[in-house]
Amino acid sequence: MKKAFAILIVSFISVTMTGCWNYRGADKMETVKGVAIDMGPKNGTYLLTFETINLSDAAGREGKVMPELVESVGTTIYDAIRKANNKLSSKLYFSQMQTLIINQTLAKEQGISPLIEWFLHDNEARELINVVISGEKTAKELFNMKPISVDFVGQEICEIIDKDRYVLSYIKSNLIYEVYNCLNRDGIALTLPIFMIVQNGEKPTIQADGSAVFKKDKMIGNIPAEIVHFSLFVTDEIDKGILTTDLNNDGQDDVALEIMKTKTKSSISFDGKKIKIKINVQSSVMALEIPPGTDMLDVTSVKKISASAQNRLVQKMHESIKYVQTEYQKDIFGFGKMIYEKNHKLWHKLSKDWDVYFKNAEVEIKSNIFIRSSGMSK
Amino acid sequence: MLDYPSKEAMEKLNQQKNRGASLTSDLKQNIALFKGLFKDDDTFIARPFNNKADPNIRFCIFNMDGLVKPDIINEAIIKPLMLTTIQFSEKKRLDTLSNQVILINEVTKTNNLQELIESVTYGDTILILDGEAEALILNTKYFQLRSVSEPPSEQILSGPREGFNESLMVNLSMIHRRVRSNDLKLRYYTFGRRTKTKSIICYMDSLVNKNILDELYKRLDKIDIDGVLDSNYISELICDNKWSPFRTIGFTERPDVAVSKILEGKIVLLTDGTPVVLTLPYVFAENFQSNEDYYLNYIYSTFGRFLRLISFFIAIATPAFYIALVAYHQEMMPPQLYIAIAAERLTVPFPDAIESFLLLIVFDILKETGIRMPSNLGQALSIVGALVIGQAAVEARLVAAPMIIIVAITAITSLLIPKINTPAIVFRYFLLALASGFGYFGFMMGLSILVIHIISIRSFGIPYMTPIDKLSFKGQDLKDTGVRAPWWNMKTRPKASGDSVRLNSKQSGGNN
Repeated sequence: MKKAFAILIVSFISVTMTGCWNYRGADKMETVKGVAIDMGPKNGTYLLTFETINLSDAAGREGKVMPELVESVGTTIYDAIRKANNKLSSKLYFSQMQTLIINQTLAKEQGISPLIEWFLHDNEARELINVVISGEKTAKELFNMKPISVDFVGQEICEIIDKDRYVLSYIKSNLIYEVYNCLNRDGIALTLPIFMIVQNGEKPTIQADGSAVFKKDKMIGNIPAEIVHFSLFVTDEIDKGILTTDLNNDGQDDVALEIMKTKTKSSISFDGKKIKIKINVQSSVMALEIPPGTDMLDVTSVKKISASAQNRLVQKMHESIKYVQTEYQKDIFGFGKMIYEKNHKLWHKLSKDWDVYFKNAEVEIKSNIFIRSSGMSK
Repeated sequence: MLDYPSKEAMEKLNQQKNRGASLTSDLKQNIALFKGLFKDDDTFIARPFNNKADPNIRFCIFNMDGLVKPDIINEAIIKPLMLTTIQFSEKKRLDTLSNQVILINEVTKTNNLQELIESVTYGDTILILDGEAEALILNTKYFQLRSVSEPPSEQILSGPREGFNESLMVNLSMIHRRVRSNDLKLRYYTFGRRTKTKSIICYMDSLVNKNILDELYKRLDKIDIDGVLDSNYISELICDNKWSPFRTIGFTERPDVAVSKILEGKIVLLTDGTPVVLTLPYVFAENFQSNEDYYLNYIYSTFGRFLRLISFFIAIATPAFYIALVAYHQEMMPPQLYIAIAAERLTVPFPDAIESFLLLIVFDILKETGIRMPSNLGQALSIVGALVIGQAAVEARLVAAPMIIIVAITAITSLLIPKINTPAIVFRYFLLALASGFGYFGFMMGLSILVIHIISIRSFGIPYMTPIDKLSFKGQDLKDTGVRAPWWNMKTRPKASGDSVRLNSKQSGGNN
């Protein structure tokens, strides 16, 4: 009996003295879906906009959830977040946050390192937040748009980026932990997707459009979407996508191939003066649009199609690398990282002038496309 | 503790009460003695009569009204005794009577007063002869019994539909019919100081583990109780772990189940007056076995076993899991689910943990009421229960809809496993309390406590988690636990009564 009493007393004490240490009722939390960071009214302040979930209408079968925007000004990010409590009855809750939108002027002038600091340190905010740059004048305008398929802009941006990998491969995304890794690691320059507002029929909505290039943590420019697409081939980050090519050279693409599997192997070598990069792309595709009348069982016509597609791919990849080399001279492909991983001492020698070496690097691209089938039974 | 006198003191008291009380040779004195013993008991009948040929031979029979069949007494006892013309020698007159006159199948001669009292109160007839200081006990039992029918608590889809009955003899007959071998041993045992309830211990001599048998006898000898009305009295007095909610002695109401346990090497204890028999030893895996598993196809039975295993964990862990998720670890939920749950929580007055306790208690009340109420109120109650609790409470925004779903899932799965009712209730509230206070940390601690507890208890020396208590179990041992292997594949008997018995006399039960 004594043992039983002792256990009972101990459990009562432990509950009251340690006190349900982290009990949070879900109604006492203001859940944040996305955050936009702009410059504040005074110099040196930030204006944060939180897209929160408004649950007042949400109960029941026909409940609707509405996004609710909360703004707050502060001298640092954390300061602004705490100051938001002046407006809210519940505390902000960041575990469901999915997107962080940064004003491009802020990124160009101040750099994004101080902006993402708090989100990395806080234990609530996940390391899987998508960081994007706003292509408009301010970042909070994006939150005013009505998303097409979901209720919240933060969620829509995150879903566009997530599914893009398996559909189109036009976006090179970086989660916040990858952003941190890029910034603190030599040999690769950071890129972040840019989202803009476009007209979709009658109503405006958001759309991903290219990437922003960074020097250290300051933004220096943006790359058009198609260049980004082919740069993904170089870094082997393509899962699915399409290749189009022009078979009969009449100026219009008439062949579309859907990529089933693709693998890029690159090797890098240094001959004392220049960096030489060899890239080999192996792809396996399905021919989904071919010129009418082509006989897919005829080996020569299949070879013609694949040769044409290979040429197009190689040409486009050259173009994208050239573009980055001439316009920005920043190694967004991670060639420096490859040297760092394979030959440490070499990297130490080259790292100071890596941009120059990157600019003058010679690239040799080979591509092999295997057309599996055409999807038609004939 | 109980403050009535011990067994030995009680015997002495009885003897003192009946002091000077023993059979004498004088018929009148014996009749007066018995009438005195059964004073105020109007059902006690004394019938004196004489032999027709020689009126000096006087008999008297005693029996209890209602427990005997009058026809037998008339035709087999009174008639032959009255009409016999046999010549008695001076000695061994009772033997002559039982050998040559009385037409009863079971006759015992005794002068032990206690034995006479016990037998006349069970339906036997006592015959005393003038001039003899001993009496004959004649078997004339006849009483109304419930007919043999399928027990309502263990119904099956297909298979035998016999169930045990309240009479020890009828139950015994059902077991004996199924095991037609002399290897089946049946030993009588008596419990209860005042009720003197008879019970029988059955086992197969060549299969049983003798250590367990000895331990059982040791524990039964220690039992000291007024009366035994149901087997559960015995089971609580002899079990290994007095405080554990898990039952370590099985029970059943079906003869086919009892015989299958006997064939596995277990011991079965039948008690007079109750259809429930005890089987021991009992391991955790048996909670999920049903006799129907063996009468139906093995794939279907395996599926049923999996369902029962899963529902055990669901019934225990679901409310705690949900509360820990919603109150402490909201980041674990996908966004859509989170929005749905958070929206419901806004409208409700109580915090999650309190609401879950309330709802669980309400559901338990409903279940208990369903068991105990008269059946003609059943319809009204189920409608009231469903409507009031489910519909109106949610619409009045007193409770949140997800909570109702969780509690309903818990209630339904706990009905699937009736044998582990008690542990399910205990551990469900325990885990819920821990999860409400400490989140998943508390939930994991509670689960660890549960697992450690299950692994550590023993049933008559056998670890409760046989056959998976040691990590080196062979596939052959598992063929009857999570799955039910087809009959052509089960080649060995289960390990439950096998070699891992460790008997520690400090752990044995009893009320010492």
